[in-house]
Amino acid sequence: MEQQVVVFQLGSESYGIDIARVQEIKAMSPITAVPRAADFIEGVINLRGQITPVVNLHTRFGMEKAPVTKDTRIIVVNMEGDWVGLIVDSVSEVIRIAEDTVETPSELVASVDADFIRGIAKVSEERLVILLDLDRMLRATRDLAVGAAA
Amino acid sequence: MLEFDLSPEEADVFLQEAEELLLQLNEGLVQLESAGDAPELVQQIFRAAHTLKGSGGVIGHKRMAEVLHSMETLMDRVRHGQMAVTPELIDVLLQGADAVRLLVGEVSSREDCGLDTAPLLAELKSLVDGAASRPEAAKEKPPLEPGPELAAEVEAALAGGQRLLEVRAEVDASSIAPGARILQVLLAVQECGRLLASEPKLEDLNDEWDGRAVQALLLADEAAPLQSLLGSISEVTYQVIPRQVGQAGPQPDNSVPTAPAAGSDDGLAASGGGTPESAAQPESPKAQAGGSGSPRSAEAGRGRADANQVRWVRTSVERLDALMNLVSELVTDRNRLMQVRANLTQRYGEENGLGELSEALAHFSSITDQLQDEVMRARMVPIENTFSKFPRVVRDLARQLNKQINLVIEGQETELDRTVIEEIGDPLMHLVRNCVDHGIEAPEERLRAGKPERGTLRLAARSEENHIIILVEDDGAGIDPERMRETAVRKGLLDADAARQLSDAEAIELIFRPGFSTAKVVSGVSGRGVGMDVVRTNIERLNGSVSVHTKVGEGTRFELKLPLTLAIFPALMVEVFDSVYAIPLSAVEEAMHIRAEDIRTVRGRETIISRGKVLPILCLDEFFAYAGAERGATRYVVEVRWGETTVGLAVHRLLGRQEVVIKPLGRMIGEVPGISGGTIMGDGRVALIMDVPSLVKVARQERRSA
Repeated sequence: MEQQVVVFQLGSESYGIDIARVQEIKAMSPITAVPRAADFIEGVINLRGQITPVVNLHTRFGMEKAPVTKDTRIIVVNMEGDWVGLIVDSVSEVIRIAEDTVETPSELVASVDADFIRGIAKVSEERLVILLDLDRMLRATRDLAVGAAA
Repeated sequence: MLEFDLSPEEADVFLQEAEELLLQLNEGLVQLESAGDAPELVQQIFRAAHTLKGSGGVIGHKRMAEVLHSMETLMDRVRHGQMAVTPELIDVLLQGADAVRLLVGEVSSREDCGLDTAPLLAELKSLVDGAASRPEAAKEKPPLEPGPELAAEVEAALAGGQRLLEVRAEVDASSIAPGARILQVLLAVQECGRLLASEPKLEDLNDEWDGRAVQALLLADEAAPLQSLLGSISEVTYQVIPRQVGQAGPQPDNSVPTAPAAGSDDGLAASGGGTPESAAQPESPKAQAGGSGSPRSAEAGRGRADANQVRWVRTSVERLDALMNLVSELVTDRNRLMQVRANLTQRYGEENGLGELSEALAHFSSITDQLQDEVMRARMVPIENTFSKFPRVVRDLARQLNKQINLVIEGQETELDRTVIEEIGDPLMHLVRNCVDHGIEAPEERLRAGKPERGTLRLAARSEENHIIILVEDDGAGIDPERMRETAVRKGLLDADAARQLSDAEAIELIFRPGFSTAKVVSGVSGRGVGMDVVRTNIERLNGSVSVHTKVGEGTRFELKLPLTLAIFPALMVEVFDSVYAIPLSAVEEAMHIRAEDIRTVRGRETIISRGKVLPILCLDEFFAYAGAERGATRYVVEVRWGETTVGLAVHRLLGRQEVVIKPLGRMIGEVPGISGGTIMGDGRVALIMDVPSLVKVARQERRSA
């Protein structure tokens, strides 16, 4: 079993998400801030007529906020029929990952909560890609956001 | 899983028809109760029950047909004067209608609703049996028989192709000269044939005659001329029944269709389905519609003829919603094009062919507006559907509480967007219940207060510019501000000091506080203290408002102000720092320029004086927690109103008016205080739409706590 994942950078780590869930990858564009929303909600953008919330994954995962560069991207993913934008440092490539290279995560490997990690793919001797459990991560993010808005 | 004999498409038609007929049944029963004796209403109810029974039978819904059959039998007794209309009778029939509604529901759910119809059927039957043994049964007049001396003549005439007909006619109760009308009927009979016998007899009639019924037996070549002649007599309801010699009762015969008298909806009583026995065989709706002389087709052919002149297309709500969404996109694009034009004009001036672009855009813009109007209109439905359930509700509640209430409904033709209609049912229901329960006093109390025993509840709708106003008004006890203060203190909502400081208007506004209920006894109707706050919340969610006006001893009026549509509305665009916000224009009272020194601090709150009144200010840069927000940086104040409260929203710039299309921010964001959604501006960016009710609430709370 092989799967295709979109690989993006967050700080010094590489993450992968299932390509089937990715709607599009956008360059940074003006984001309308939503005051008093959760801190990791960067704001909303207009995506072909639909207002789409944008989550800053740095803030979400408690990492230091990275400056916006020419490489910064918004990955728009599908969540239960809604679009959600995720701000990442850069998107590097789309790779194929064989299921037998995926290992169960150890607690210490990433900045991200182990609950949100589906596995670690060893792409080469030097390179690990952390596969995100997108649904779990987004649901938890939503619950957090809805609770935090005040 | 229940099985019925119909396809899903047929089920839709069935359910729609059933809903319509149930509504007629309910309305008819409630009206009949107050009218007491109204043959045309009785007929309408009978017909509705009969038709419903027919459709129930066709799809094999036996239980539904059974209940309706019993109801129909009972109505038949009423129709023939064997039973008086009493509240008890109406109660049972309304219960029957409720049962039928549940049973109809089975057709869509395909699940047994768990209703045991046996007690209801028994109750209906006992009423029917009771009616049969009553002396009023004598009111049903036996058919006239020709005297023996005429037997030979009748026999000869029948042999010669003539027909024996019986005319039964009744003069409307409102007629001032029933005797004269009866005379007209008998003269008409004489003109069309050989009058054999009549009751009353022609020679007994005089101007003082006060009977209202007349029967006549005649020989004639055909019935039609007689019918048209009878039809020309006003205030008279009649039947022409073909007879056989020596036959015990009238024989329904569809070959002699009857026609209504002028101004009456009746006249069909003896045509199809007159007796319970003949009606027991369910007819298919189709057969009814196509059949001759059945009540349904007669009505369709007559009453609906005018309506059929308009040509209708049935369309699904989804399609209208899709159309509305497309129009919304168009409005957004229009705004965007306007922005592009403005940018180009700024760069190149009006020359260089831009004038032509402006012209085209102006036209495009006006077409878009018209399209938006048309689509909005297509989505509008009369509020009638919502109002029509209230006569029944008010009647039931009033009876339960031993109150006498006259419900006046006005403006039911007023139209609203269907999404708004769907949302206002519950709030309206609560207001109406509240008026019946708390507003209108018991009859004794009303008499003591020198008011008529019967209270009046008015439910009225009207349109006003871009809004719909709905009033729920009673002539009851009114709301006493002093009692509101006491209750608020007792319930711990306010301390005694705070309560004393409230103005009367503010005290009355307490009714919308969560957990507030002034009912002395929890009545099970509306006294649980959940409600008025929910009413306000629901109406506010629709961009509407609810206000209350009351006078002790004279009554209370709730006024609902609702937008025509939810999707697109005019807004005032403002800027807070570099962010653009839209404030719904419906909430805006005034916008003004201020200087830093205009802002004064009163009891720790920033305020300005506007039109001689102290207006609390909410500085949006601070409220929305912009970094670097500084006092005095704001330059404009937009005065917004919610309910009875006005608040000034301090912003940095005013950008002008724009039509905005509201869009949700997405589930990821959650509920943000002060923001109700977003809209896409001409430049493609997102502007947030301010949630005025929540901002006013915040400003009010901050004022209290300050």
